[in-house]
Amino acid sequence: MPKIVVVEDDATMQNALVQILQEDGYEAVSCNNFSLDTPDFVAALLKLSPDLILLDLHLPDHNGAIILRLLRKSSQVPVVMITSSNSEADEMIALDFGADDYITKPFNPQLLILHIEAVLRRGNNQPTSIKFHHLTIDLLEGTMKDDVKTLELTKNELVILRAMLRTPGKIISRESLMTELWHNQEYINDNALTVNISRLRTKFAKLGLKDAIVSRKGLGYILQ
Amino acid sequence: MKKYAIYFVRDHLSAICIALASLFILNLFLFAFRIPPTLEIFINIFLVATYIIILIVEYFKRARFYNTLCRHFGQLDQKYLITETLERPNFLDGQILYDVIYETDKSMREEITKNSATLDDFCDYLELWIHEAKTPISAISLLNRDANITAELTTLDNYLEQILYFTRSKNANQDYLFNSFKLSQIIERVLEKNRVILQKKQISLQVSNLDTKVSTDAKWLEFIINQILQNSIKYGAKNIKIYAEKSSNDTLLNIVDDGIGISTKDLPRVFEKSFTGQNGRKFSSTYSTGMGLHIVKNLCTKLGHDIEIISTDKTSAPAGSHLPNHSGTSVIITFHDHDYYKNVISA
Repeated sequence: MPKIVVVEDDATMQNALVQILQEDGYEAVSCNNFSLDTPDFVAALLKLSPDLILLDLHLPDHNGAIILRLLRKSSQVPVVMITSSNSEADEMIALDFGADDYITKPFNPQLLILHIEAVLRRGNNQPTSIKFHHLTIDLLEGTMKDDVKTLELTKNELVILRAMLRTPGKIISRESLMTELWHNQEYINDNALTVNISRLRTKFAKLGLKDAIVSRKGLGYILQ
Repeated sequence: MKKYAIYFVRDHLSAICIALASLFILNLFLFAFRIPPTLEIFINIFLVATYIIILIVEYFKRARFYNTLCRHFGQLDQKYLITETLERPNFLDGQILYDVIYETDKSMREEITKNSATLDDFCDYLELWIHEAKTPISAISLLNRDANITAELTTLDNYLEQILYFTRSKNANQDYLFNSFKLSQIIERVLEKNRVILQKKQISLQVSNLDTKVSTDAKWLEFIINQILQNSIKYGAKNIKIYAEKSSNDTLLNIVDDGIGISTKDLPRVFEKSFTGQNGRKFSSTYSTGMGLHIVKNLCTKLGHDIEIISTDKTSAPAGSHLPNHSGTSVIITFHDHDYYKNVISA
């Protein structure tokens, strides 16, 4: 599991972030030796050998941007910046200093996970097709096929399926699916999500997987 | 100049009268002492000439100063800088006037400096405070799993943004950062932020044709669009259409809703500060501050974008018409494709 180090001065925020990341299956720790001077702080940060750093731009004793610049001198570890300011300049600075992405306060947990996943994926080669049971889901063509038949997926269905395939066998909430869809600029409503899920079910059934998507009332869906 | 000469004579009328009277009495004395007439004429001419010369000298001293004063005063934008443009005059009443204006200006400027320093301090503190206030809001939105609370938090965050951008729109030295952005990218952030409210109110969205790039400050534009969206949500929209069109070199962003609309009477005033229209008050399940669109207009002006609102409400439909009640508001933001922006961005 990827290890994420959280650098955030506000205790409540810090705990919330760690908790959310852990719930989502990441190994999350926080680094809060803010009494160290900046170079030592960066060294301590790197000693934790993180796979990704979640860094608040506004820290009481340090400047997030300076931490980032020092960090970039010795490491290429992915960094997601948390900015609280609504100024375009701050985000430009963050990206200029080598952040991979930024997220502006306030944000919801699903959105945070989306950003983190996207940054982590960027490093690896994206699979163009995924095997699921006897089916192949081609993400580039947007199709789902077995040896004989090929079914086309709509963009919405593809987005939903791709999200589900990231954590097969685990519950994915409707909220997460909605965040994912809206993040992909598909601004659909609750009913449309239900319709899309049932269309996906039908397509799975046509290819011989009857109960691929299981509903769990009040929780979400499981792909199995 | 001519006018001033008349005023000057009128101002000295009493002095002139006294001088003439004393000249008349002097002549009586001279006559009584049997001074030869030639000498009497000479004395008269001499005294009158002397007095006229004195008047002329006094007149030109003042005319030079006051004419410059009046000319400069008419031309100056900042009237309080008047003493900076003048030399201290060489006659007493002018000197007094000059000194008094100079001292008044100085003390006023000190007062203004003090006040604007207080205001700057307050703005800085406000901005800092808003960032501080955002931390607990973020913490709550991270911990919270309840859609109702999410919706309320979004509203709270929107109010915080409103005051933040109000300060920014008033603050002349608050700089913005121009860059080229895809409209879809900015719209996505706004919609994502309001997703839960939009879903809760079952508002359906049609978003299309937003791949155009525009030159703007993304954060400011995000705020502007967010305010417009808040209004649509507040005033009963069930469908919102967002799309862009090209018109010669300009890009027009349209945000169209089918809410209660704005009455024709109120429409020209919507950008005024603290203006809440008839529908704004009628529909006030939520309190309207009348600030949102005012700030939006200011920010648009600063960014060089045009904003226009077209709207119809139910009352503007012809009486007795059997058409379905048709109301709604369209907000159109025009982004000009100007070389100025290109220079700013490339620099």
